[in-house]
Amino acid sequence: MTFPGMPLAGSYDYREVALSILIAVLASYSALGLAERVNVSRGRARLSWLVCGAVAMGLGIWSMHYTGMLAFRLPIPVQYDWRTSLLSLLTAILAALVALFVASRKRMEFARALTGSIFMAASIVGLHYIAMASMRLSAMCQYSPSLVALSVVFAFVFSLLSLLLTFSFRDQTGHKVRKIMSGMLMGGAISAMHYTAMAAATFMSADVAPDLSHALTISSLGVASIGIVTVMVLEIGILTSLVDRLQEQRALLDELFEQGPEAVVLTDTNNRIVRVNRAFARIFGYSPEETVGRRLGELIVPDEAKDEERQFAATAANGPRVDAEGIRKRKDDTLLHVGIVRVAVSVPGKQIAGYAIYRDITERKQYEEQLKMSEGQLVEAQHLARIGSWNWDLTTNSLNWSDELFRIFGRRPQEFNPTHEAFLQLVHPEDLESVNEAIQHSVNTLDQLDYYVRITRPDGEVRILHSRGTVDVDAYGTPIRMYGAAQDVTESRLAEEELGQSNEKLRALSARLQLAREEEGTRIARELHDELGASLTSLKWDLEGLSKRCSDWVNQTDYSVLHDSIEKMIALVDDILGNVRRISSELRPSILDDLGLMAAIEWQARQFESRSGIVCEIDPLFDDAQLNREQSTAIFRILQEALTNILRHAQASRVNVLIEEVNGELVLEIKDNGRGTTEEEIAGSQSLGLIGMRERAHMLGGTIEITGVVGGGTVITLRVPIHP
Amino acid sequence: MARILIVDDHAVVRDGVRRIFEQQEDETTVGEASTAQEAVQLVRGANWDAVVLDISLGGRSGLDFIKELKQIRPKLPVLILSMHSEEQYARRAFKAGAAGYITKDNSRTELVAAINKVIAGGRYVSPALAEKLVFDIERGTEGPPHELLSDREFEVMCLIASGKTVTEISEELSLSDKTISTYRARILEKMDMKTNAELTHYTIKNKLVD
Repeated sequence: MTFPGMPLAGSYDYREVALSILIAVLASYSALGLAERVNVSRGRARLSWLVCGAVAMGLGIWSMHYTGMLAFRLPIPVQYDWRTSLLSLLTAILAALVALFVASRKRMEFARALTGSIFMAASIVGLHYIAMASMRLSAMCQYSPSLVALSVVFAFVFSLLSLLLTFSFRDQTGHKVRKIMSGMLMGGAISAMHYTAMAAATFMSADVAPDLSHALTISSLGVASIGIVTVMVLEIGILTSLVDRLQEQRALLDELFEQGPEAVVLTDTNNRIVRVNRAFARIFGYSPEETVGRRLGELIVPDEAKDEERQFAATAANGPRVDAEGIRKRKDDTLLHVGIVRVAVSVPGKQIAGYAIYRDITERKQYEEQLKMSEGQLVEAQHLARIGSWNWDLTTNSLNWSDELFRIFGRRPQEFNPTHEAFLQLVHPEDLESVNEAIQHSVNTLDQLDYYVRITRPDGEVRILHSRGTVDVDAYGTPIRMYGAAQDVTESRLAEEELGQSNEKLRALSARLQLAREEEGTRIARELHDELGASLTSLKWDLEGLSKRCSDWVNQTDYSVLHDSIEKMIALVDDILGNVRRISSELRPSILDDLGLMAAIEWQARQFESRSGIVCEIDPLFDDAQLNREQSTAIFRILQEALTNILRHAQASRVNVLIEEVNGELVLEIKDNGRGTTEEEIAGSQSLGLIGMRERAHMLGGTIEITGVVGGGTVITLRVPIHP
Repeated sequence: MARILIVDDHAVVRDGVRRIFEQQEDETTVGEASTAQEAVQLVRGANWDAVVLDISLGGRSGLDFIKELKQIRPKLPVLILSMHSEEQYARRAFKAGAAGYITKDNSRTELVAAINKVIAGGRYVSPALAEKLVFDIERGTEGPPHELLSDREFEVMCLIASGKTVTEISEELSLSDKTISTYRARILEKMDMKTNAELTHYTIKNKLVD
C-alpha cells in the first residue's frame, strides 16, 4: 500500500545497470574515434564528421541515461513524456557537439578546455534533469541539494576528462588498447554522474494522477535506446575503417605521385591540368599553382611539337598508351629531350582523367650523341692506324672483331665467323706455339697480353700483327674475358728490317772504306818510308862523298862555296827524310805492322808524352800474336782517338793505359785524371770521335764504354772478344 | 881486308853502301843480297866480317832474320841499317842479337865507324837513338825500383810476395794465367830481379806487405 507523502522505495535491476554502463563505454569509445576523424578531415568532410559525430555521441549518452532509468524500479508504474525526452536528446547532442568541436581545435589551451567542459557539463546536467522531468508517475520527486551538487561536479570533471583524453588521442591512431581503456574510463565517469544524480532524487507517493498524454512506457524507450546505440556503434566502426582505408590509399598514391623522379601531370578529360608533381615543377620550372587549369600545349610544348602533342592526346584518349620520345620546353623556353608516356584513366564505360608522364633524357641523349661520335672516331682511328679491336668472352668462347680487324685479316664480317679456333687457323704455323703460350701466360698470370704474330689472308698474303690485350676476372678472380687490339705492323716491320739491313750495309761499307783507307795509307807510308827513304839515304851519302872529295877537284875559293852548298843540300835531305818519316808514321805507323800492337802502343804513348807533356803510363800486358791485322789496327786507332780526345778536352796531367786479357776478352782501359767527360758530351751527336770509336769497336764485335766522373777523370773501356 | 855483306831490298841503298866502302882506303869487299834467301846462301857460302841488314826486309821480319843468321853463324856481327828511328826497333834488334843499330839518315862516316866497331866485336847505336834509350833507362832510375811499377803491377807483386801462385792470382784478379806470367816477367825486369824470393824479400824489407 502506498499513501501520499510516503517515500517510495526504489530498487535497481543490476543487469540493466550493467547494460547502461556498457552503453556508456561504447558511446565513449565511438566518440574518441569520431574525434580522430574530425581532426584529420578538412572542409565539408570535417563539418559532416562533426555533425554526425555529435549526433552519434549525443544519442549514445542519451541512451545510456534512459537505460539507467529503466534499471530503476519503483513500486508504481512509471511512464515518460516523449516530448521532454526528445528535448533531453537535443541537449545531449549539443553537449557532444561542443565536446567534439573543442577537442578538434588545433591547439588545446586549458582555458578553452575549461570553457568547453562548463558547456558540456551544463548540457549533460540539463540532459539528466530534463530526462528526469519526462517521468510521468503518481509521485512527487524531491532532490537532495548536496547530491545534485555532487552530480554537477561529476558532470564537469567527466567533461574535462573526456576533452583532454580526446585531444590527447586525436593525433595517435592505432593505439587500440589505450583507446579502449579511455572509453571505459569515460563510460564509467558518465555512469557515475548518472547514478549520483539518480541518488539525489527521492520519489514521494502522491494521489495526483500523472498526465499521461504523450507518455510512453519505459521499456519501449529502453529497447529503442539499445537498438540505436548498437546500430550507431556498428555504423561508426564500418565508417571509420572505410575512411581509414581510403585515407591510407590516398596517402600512398599521393607520395607516389609527388615523390616519383618523373614529371607527372594529371589532366581532366578536356586535357586541362588538374595537378602536377614536384618533379614536374623541377624539370619544367613551373610551380604547381601556375599549371592548374592550363593545357599542356600552352606550357611545355614547343611550336614544332604541337601536332605531335595533339596526336598523343588523341591516341591516349582512345585507349592505347602512348610511349614516345620528343622535345619539350621549360618555362624559360630552353628545350629538353623527354621520354613521354600518355595514358587515360578510366572506370568501366568512361574516361575520367589522363596522365602525362615525362622523363628528362637530355643527358642520355647527349651520352648517346657522344657515344655515337666516339664510335665513329674509333672506327676512323682504327682504320687510319690499322688497328682492329677484339673481345673474347672466355665463358662462352665467343669472339668479337671490329670492322677494321676483319679488314686486317682480309675477311668480310658476313662470310667469316671469328672464333678463337678460326683465328688460330689463320695464324702462321710457326707462330702457333708462341701465340698459345702468350695467351696461356696472360690467363695464368693476368699479365698484359703482348705478342707478334704472322697471319695469312685468304689470298695467301702474310701480314705481321702486333696484338695486345687485357684479362678481366670475375669476383672470384677467374678470368672471364680478354679484350685488346691488334695492329698490322707489316710495313713498319719490313721497313725496320730494311733499315736494319741498310744500316748493316752502311756499316759494312764504312768498315770497308776504313780498311781500304788503312791499306792505302799503309801502302803509301811504305812507299814513302822505304823507297823514298832509301833513295834519299843514297842521295845523302853521295852528297857526303861529294862534299869530302870536291877539295881534290877545285881550288880553295870554289871549294868553300861548293862545300857550303853541298852541306846545305845534305841538311835539306835530312829535313826531307824527317818529313818522310813523320808523314808515313802519321799515315800508318810501320811499327804496328812490324812489331805488333804492344810495341805500337808503347811507341804511341812515348810520342804522346813528348808531344803533349802529359805523363802516359802503359801496361801492355797482352800477347798480341793473337790479334789479326784488322783487330790491331782498330784497337790502335781507338787508342789514338782516345789520346787525341784527352789532349783536346780532358785537361789531364796523367793517362794510364792498360791492355790485358780478361775472360777471353781483350780489355783496353784508358784512364785519365782530367775534368771528366759529362753524359751530354758522351751522348752528343757532334762527338764524332766517340762515334768513330764505337764504330770501330762494333766492327770488332766489341763494346766500348765511357764513364766520366766530373772532376774525377774519364775511363774508356774497350772490350773485344778474342777467342770466338 | 874486310868482307861485308849488305842485305837490303833497295838497290839504291846497296849501291850507296858499296860506293862508301869502295871509297875507303883499306880494300873492303862488299857482297850484296836483295832477299833473305839470297843472304842465307851467301852467309852459308863464305866468311863475312859483318852483315849490314835492313830491318824491313821486304815481306820478312828482319828481327827473325837476325836470329836465323845468328843461328847459322853465331859470331857474325849484324849491323842493322834501318829507316826506323824508333827505339822500339833498336831494342828488339839488340834482343834478337844485333851488334849495332844505325839509322839510314846517319852520315857515311858514322856508318863506316859502326861497321868497324861491330867488326871489332863492339856494339854500336846511333847517337840520337842512344839518347832515347838512355832516357828510357833514366825514367826508372829515380826513387826505389817499385815506384817504376804500374798500379796493377804493384798489386801483382804484392800478391806474389804473399806466396800466392800464378793460378791463385789470376783467379783473384779475373785475369788469365798468361797475363799474370807476363806481369811477373815485367815486374822482375823492372825490379832487376830474378826470382819470386827476391821479390818477397824486397817487399818485406820495404814494408810493402803486412
